[in-house]
Amino acid sequence: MSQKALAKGSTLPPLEKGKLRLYSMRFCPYAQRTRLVLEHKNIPYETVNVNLKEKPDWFLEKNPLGLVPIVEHDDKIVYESAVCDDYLDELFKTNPLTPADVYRKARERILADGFHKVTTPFYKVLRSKGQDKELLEEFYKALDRYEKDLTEPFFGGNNLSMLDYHLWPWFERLGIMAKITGQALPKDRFPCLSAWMDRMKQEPTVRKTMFSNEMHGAFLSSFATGTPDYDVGLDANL
Amino acid sequence: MSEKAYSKGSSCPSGQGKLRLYSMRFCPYSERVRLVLAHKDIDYDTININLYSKPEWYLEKNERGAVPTVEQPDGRLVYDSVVASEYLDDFFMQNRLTPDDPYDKACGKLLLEKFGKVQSAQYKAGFGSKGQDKDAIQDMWVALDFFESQLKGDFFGGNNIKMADLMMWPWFERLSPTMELTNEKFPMDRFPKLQAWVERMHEQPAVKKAALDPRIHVGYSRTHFDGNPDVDHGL
Repeated sequence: MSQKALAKGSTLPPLEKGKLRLYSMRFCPYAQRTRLVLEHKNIPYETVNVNLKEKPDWFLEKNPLGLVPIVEHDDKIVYESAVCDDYLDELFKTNPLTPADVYRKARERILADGFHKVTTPFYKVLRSKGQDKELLEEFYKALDRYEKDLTEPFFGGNNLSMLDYHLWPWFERLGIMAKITGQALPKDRFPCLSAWMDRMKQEPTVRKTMFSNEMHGAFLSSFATGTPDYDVGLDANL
Repeated sequence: MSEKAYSKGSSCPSGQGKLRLYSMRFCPYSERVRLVLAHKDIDYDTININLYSKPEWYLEKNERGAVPTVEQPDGRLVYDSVVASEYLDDFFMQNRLTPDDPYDKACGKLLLEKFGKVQSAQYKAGFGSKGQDKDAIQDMWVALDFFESQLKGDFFGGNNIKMADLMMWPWFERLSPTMELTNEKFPMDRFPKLQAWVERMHEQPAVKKAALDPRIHVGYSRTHFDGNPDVDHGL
């Protein structure tokens, strides 16, 4: 199936019975969470990338919120990345990602739910083109909590869990943030997070779904023009 | 144990070896957890927190300073309302509220996501505008249309009450007080299924245990409108 993003006026490719489909956008961090889960659990799936600026009508019928990711199979539709990820983890038993201990599960949810405090300043920094030092400090302050809570190799303990995947996509984009701000994530302030990032970059699932800083940069630049190029990198061998 | 709220300058009451809920009597989010505790017959103590003058010690329990927080006798802490409700349902196995089927469970969560529109419209209609915002009331009805269409069985959970029913209940409990405060009427013809569900919910033991009389809700809201919220109103 082509990876090119489908836009308004496009025909929805039919979904075969028994097959699982992910509606996604290659550079969407929320959809990336679900791709990480699918890959981690070796769930067979097909991807339909969607043009989120010129949304097809069939897409809005599936999710009136008009957002990716959406998971669809056998007339069942689930959206919202956290809901999709939990759903997949419950439906497919291989390589479970939800902690078996219910208290640990709850504490990981608390960290997951609180992560918007990191993503909000993250986007503010990007939008300010890295010019605003106060915004960058706001972002670092929000990260302090996660640095403090990371007492083991992964947020999931000795092995990664749903929470690691839940957070990863924004850390993957720190490279492009560093290019924009001229400042890499300070290792002395964030030693545990820095080590965790190196560890995550070695994970096969992360390597499979990852984009380089150059690709992220190319997409971000196109986004800033007002006409995002959702297919950036597809024609060339980047 | 007294229901009076703890304020700034107070000391944290010592534990009694029981599960503890940090709450506020009028907070709909706290009510969610009270409903779950009631439904599952869990024994617990309540410590009400004055959200308008928070005790310093409470920030050690929940750094967001919000209610509800659930505390196990050994000091383990869980918040906020949805995480705490799911945690209690996982930890205490009786009268299970989470659907067994993963898709039903996902659908319940998506219902809650959509419910945000009802919650914000109700807040705007009541506290946000001291009962003056008529547009907010209309927004609430429009948001409720979706829920009217989604109610296929006796409960949002199907034949039996499930997590989604309890998570949404507190805002339906506050419908009649909101009507009184805004001088509006609930359009029963527009919401026959929801009306029937509300009546069914009133009969649920958990709701009977955890709900507050509409008049007390109205009284509390009025103290709020006057600029002096009395979290101990009605005690």
